[in-house]
Amino acid sequence: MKRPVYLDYAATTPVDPRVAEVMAGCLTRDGVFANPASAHGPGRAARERVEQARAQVAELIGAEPRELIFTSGATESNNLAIAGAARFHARRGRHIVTSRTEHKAVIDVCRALERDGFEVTWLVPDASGIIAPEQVREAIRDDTVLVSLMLVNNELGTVQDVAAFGEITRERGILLHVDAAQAVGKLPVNLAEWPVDLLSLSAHKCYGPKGVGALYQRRRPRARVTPLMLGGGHERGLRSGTLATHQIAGLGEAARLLSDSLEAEVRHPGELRRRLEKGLLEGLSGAHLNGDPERRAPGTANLRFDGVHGEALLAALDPDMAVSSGSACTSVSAEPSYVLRALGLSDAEAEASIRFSVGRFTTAEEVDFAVERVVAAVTRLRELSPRGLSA
Amino acid sequence: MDSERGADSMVYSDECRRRFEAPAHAGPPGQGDTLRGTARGREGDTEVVLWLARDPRAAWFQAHGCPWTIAGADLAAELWTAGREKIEASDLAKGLGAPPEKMDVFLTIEDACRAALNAGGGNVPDGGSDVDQPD
Repeated sequence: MKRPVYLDYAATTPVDPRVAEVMAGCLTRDGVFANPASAHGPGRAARERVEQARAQVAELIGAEPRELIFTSGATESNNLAIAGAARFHARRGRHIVTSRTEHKAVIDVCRALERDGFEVTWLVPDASGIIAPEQVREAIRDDTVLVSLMLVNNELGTVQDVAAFGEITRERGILLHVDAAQAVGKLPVNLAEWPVDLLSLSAHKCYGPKGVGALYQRRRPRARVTPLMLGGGHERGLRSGTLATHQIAGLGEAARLLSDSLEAEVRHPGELRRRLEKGLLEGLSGAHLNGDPERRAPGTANLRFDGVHGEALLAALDPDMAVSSGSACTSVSAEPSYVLRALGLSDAEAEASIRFSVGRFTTAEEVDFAVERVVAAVTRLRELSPRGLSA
Repeated sequence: MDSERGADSMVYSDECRRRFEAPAHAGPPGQGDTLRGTARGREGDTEVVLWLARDPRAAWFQAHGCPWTIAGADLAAELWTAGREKIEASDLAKGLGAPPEKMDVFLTIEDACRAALNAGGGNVPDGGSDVDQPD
């Protein structure tokens, strides 16, 4: 068993070796290295490779290839979708609906729009992280132009009913943007059936390379956005900049692999996550699951351990395991997760929370090792703590 | 969880890691007369309890906080056991090779020492790092 045991697939995934092989074929003189915008033969070959990838990604999410714009990742896709849609529709209205538990790449864009005179309604989920469709319906006003809500929460794994959100926004003629960075490749995503207008995805969350992603932009009814990056008119004028053939080919191959085995990609992490949760919740008193127990991405478990400081637990596990904490320790003080705080957890509870996320390459042996190490570390830290419990 | 903020926050000195992984003065103590002091950090995420004994000289701790807190409390107990009468945050930071931004946790440990010495069991209020108490 290789150490550290990597249980942070929600942060990023390793590139699948089959993806790396395809990418390598687009880099050197022997491969498809030319600029896809060039008119000559090598350029046309690169363009064909890009279009192949576009079709592969489209197939994975039930879209048409021409509905996809390649970007540098989900952060850029979120920026383009939210700021681009807000700017395009600013004359019609300047109100946006989103939630307190979105990724920073959504929250910070919405805050910037607030500074530019837009109004934002920040929905608060229930204690399990779920936003009810009724909350969306009630938040929409006559001047609302965009609703942006994530499909799978990056910290909790909680799955939102974006199809229900889409029914409401479609009724009102409002755009729905979905940040699906944590969902694509982990759950079935079918944009042929879901009334979603804009959707962000990222390659590195699903065994592709970092630095590439895509924005889905529905054609019928057309979801219009104003481009943020100018200069060259690439990607139908919506995202200028020379296309990174190797990155895009990597995303395409990652999507192809997922399309070929999506059932196993959902089942395998689901089985291991349940094994991990069972081991920890039965092996430790004062251990709790954060988020909805049922409506979750298969591979993500966010657990909190009473009487334990999250950073200390991470440090105790650090040589052997890679997981994520419920707090981001800044230079001066620990800053509890805003997502966990939005669910109503106290600072202490948020700090005592750890996200475990398993994936394609995780094994049962690794999960069992993780359970053993976490139980031992929590027990030791509780013995050292004036707030500790017995295991 | 996935932003860059805090990415460097889990870098610890060798001395910090050694004491965090195997503290020599973990409490609570058994029978015997001790002076007990408690302090909490301003944010409430750090809590330190120290027990100091004079005869024979000994000390124990319990701590809730980051590895610097646990290692610092262990070092404070060691300094007391070695005969140091006054434990100061700067000594703990220097002894562990801690970055300046971690001074808050060492001030909390210093407050716990003061609380033990001043009251023989009294507590420094929450946010004790800022409380200026007489020596």
